[in-house]
Amino acid sequence: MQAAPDRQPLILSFLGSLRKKDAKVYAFIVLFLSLQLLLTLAKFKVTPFYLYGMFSEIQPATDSFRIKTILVDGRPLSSYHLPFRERLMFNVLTDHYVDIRNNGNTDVLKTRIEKKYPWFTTLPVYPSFARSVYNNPGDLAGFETWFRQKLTNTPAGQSAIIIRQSTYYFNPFLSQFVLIQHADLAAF
Amino acid sequence: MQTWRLSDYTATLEASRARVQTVFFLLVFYGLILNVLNHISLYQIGPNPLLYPDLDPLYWLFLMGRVPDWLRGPAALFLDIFLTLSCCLSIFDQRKKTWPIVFLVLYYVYFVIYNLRTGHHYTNPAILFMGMAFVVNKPVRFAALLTLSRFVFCFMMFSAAIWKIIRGNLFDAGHARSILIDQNLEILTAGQASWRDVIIRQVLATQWLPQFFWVLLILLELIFVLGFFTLRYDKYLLIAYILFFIGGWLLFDIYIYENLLFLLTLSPLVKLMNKTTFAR
Repeated sequence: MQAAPDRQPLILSFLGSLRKKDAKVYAFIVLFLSLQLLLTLAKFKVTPFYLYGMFSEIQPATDSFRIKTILVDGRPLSSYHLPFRERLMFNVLTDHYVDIRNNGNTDVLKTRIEKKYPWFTTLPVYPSFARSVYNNPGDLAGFETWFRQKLTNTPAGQSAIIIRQSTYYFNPFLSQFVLIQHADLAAF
Repeated sequence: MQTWRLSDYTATLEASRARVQTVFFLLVFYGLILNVLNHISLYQIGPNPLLYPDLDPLYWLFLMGRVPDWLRGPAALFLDIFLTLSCCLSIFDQRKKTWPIVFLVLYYVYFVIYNLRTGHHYTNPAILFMGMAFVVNKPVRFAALLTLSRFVFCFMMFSAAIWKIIRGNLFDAGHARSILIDQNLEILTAGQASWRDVIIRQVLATQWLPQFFWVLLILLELIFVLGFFTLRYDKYLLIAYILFFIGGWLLFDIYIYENLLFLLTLSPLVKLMNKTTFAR
């Protein structure tokens, strides 16, 4: 015999029946869902309450594209045949490294917090927060050592790593990419 | 065709806990193996000091507690080993709740340290959410927490679509093309013919095609709103997510395999995991 479908939206019948069955887990779940909803509306992320933006940031239409190449003693990282996630890690981390270098060796998070939430920097806890949370110039040097060690297994000074940015022009009619210029963003 | 009601769904979950736990932790174990093959276990990553806490208070707490300073060298190796061990014991010794609890705590630490040391907060929370269900004893709570994961999954997909629509890039042809090129630029400019290069060039060569795929992917996210209302369309949600995953992988080189675990909370797979219970 065919069962009658639920009369109200699934989420409401779920919460309604749970309230009768187990008040504690009901309270936990209501709190959980409310927090997720409130934090999303406030555009705040506190793991595990994520903001699921996923490629929603506006990207203006453009015909010039930049690509970063990591060269280890002249050899591009792409020729290392690294597994997907490890390659991703190196690419993402070098972006982070270059961002901080370009920000006068100041953590971009520090700049962002000071600019967006100046009240936060007046809290008594801020100095100790800043010491523990922000990257400092020593961490940049530490990154260089770690990075070199991972890729070449050699100590400082024995191999050259260059982070190079190439700008390409995309011709939409020919579907072709033309190299415009190279620029070295960092070398260590 | 028979429509599944909420009570069928939760009763089946309650009755098939052992099987769900086995399937979940087997897949997690497979994921941990994939991590090792990708050189991203904590020990393999090593003590990169350039961390990425971003605007997330949980990460700040980890840093203020100096957790990354402790988890290096042998400590990182121990965490990897105990994480894997607690995962295996959650399969083979299901009488004790200790193993799923140990697993969840260690996985949380791994998750945060991994994101801190690899420079991005990856949106792959499936294990964090679903792992909660196995730490409770009562069947009602187990089913409730897995149902919660199902709603989180639907929220993740649906809100991702809403963000894109609100930010106004649903019908922005330039946005789709720019992302497509940005994500594949390395392949497109490498000068070597590969199957991905051929596919992306074909898509770019047709003016409307990037936009078409972009809108299609957003629609696949959008239909997850149905998951809040009924179980009736779960099989379409299942197909939608698989298509979404394949599309993201083929076109945008995105490959977050952990979130595939969320599919276990959709009714076709709940049924599959315990056909006999449902037939009774």
